[in-house]
This record gives sequence, structure tokens and C-alpha cells, in this order.
Amino acid sequence: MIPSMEATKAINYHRKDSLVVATSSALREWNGVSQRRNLDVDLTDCMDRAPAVGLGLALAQPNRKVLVLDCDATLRTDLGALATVGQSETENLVHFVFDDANRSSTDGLPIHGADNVNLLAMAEGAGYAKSYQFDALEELLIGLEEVMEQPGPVFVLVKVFRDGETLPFPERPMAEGWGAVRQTLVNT
Amino acid sequence: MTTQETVLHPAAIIEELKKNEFTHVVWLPDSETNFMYQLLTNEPTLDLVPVCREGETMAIAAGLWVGGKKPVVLIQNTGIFESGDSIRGLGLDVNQPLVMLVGYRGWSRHGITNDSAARFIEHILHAWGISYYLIETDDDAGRITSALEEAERTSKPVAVLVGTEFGA
Repeated sequence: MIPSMEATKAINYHRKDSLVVATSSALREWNGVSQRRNLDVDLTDCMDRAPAVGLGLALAQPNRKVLVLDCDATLRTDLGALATVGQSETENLVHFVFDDANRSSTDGLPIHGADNVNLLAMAEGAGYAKSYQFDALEELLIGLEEVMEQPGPVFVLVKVFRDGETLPFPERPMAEGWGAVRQTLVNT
Repeated sequence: MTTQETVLHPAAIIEELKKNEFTHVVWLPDSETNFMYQLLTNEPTLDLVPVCREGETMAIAAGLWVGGKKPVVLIQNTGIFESGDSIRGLGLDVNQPLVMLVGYRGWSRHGITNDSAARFIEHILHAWGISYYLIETDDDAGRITSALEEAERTSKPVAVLVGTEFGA
């Protein structure tokens, strides 16, 4: 199991000029780590739609990597997105899913059957070009280099836990943040 | 007395999309859009993005728009109901100027409309404050341009209700 914040920092180390779509608990941590907020598309609403937003971005910006920072709970509410992304042949999309032992998104409440759903197998069956699972920080730190070089769509399940205080969502409203990213991309 | 043929050909729609430089058609195929699909797959200026469920269309369109592209969504009115939360959160709340081509299943100018998908759709659009245009023949296709102009002027989604099945 990997401390969620450490996993987030590791991804940030490898992001370079990637666009990042982050949602739910993953967004709380990303907001505290990212140093390129003008390339971050936050989902503080419609949190299940991160893979779909990421797919649209990846299609629009084929020369730029798009990282989706998703959570197991949010992905479960839109499992069809796995097939939509898996069949999209978007080589520049990496879909991270933080599988959270603490169930932060439901404040610890158990989700019926959540532990029995094999998201990795679903992604593989849906057509993702490559899939990974990381349970240890050392493996993640080493493996991310390969992950970032793989033609996608790539699915990465990261087994995490969270301790300490719950971090806040970004204060920046979605419309403002999305507008800033759009402006950045139009100008580059 | 003369009769007017009320046919809407997919080619008329596609010409409007090309004229307005749309880049992507995000859609869920259905039985009524077969002719449209055949033409779209042969149109090099428009990329098709298929989805599993209609709510995804709004999110993918949002990503395309943030990325600098000009998508249009093509779904049935039943899909608008399914897409409600995404239209609210990823259309209206982020100021996305999105044109939504919506199949008006159940629509009829003649007799009683029994299909609840048709009876509810305009009320739902009114509730969200989303403007809409109706197209039923090739002559109406220019309303797609009107919808786009309104979407860009207001930075909001605008619907185009397709009130007839496509002709071959």
C-alpha cells in the first residue's frame, strides 16, 4: 500500500508538460502538489467524468500527454468510461486510478462489493493498450518511467492509503480554471 | 394544392457542420442515425467519437473544447435526460458553447404525442434555460448555424431538435 500523497508526488515528478485531469480525493492532493496549475483541469463537480474529459483533451491535444487522476469510487459510478476510453486508441492518455483503502470519498463508509470489483481486469477487457498495478512506493517510483513511455490508452491502478487531515479542494472555480487551461493551450 | 416533401437528409446536416468548421461529432449511435453514420465515416474533416452512454458526450465535448477544438454532440432526446448532470456541471457551469443535435423521438405535428420522451424534452430544456431550434427539412439545416452563433454569444449549450428521421 502506498501513501496517497507520495504517489501523487511521484506522478507530479513525471508529468512534465502533461495536461492533468484530477477528480475527487485525488484532486485534493494534486491541488497541493502541482506546480503547473495552468495545465490542470479540475473536477470538483461531475467527478465521475474525469476519464471522459481526459479523452476529449487527449483527442484535442494529440501531441501532449494527458494524465487522468481518478479514484476507485468515482470510476465505479461510470464504468462505461472504461470501454469508451479503451476503444478510443488514444495513445497519449494515461488513466491513473487511486484505489483507496480508507474510502476517503465516502468518509470511510463501505461501498457494497467495492473490494470484489476488479478494475484492472475491466480495463484490460475494455481494450486499454497496457495496464499496471502498483502496491509499493518503490515499484511505482521505478515503474512510472515505463508507464509514461507506453503508447496508450494506459490504465494504472495504484493501491493507496490516506492518513492525516483531509486536504481542501481547490478554491479556483471550475469555470475559471478550465478557462485558464483553454487560454494556455490556445496560446501555445 | 401542392404538397411539400419534408425530408431531412444527413448531407444537409453535414454541410452545415463543415461550413461552421466543427471538428468532432461526439455521439451515441442509434437506429435512426444509420444514414448519418455512413456519411460521417466518409467525411475527412469531422472526427467521430463514439461513447457508451450519452452523459459521456458532454464530458468529452468539454475536454475537446478546453483543448481548442469545436465539437458537436449528436444524441437522442432520451440521452438528454440521461445526460442531465453533465449538461449542468460540464456544460452550463463551465460556460461551454456547445451545440447539441438531439433526435426528437416521438415528435409529431399531427395528432397526439404519446411518447414521453417527446412530451418532456422541451420542458426540460426550458428548466435549464437552454435555447433550442427545431429542424425538420433540409431547408431548416441553417438553424444549426443560428444555434452555434447563440452558443458562442452566450457561452452556453444550445440544442437543435431534429424533428424527423433522416432520409436516405
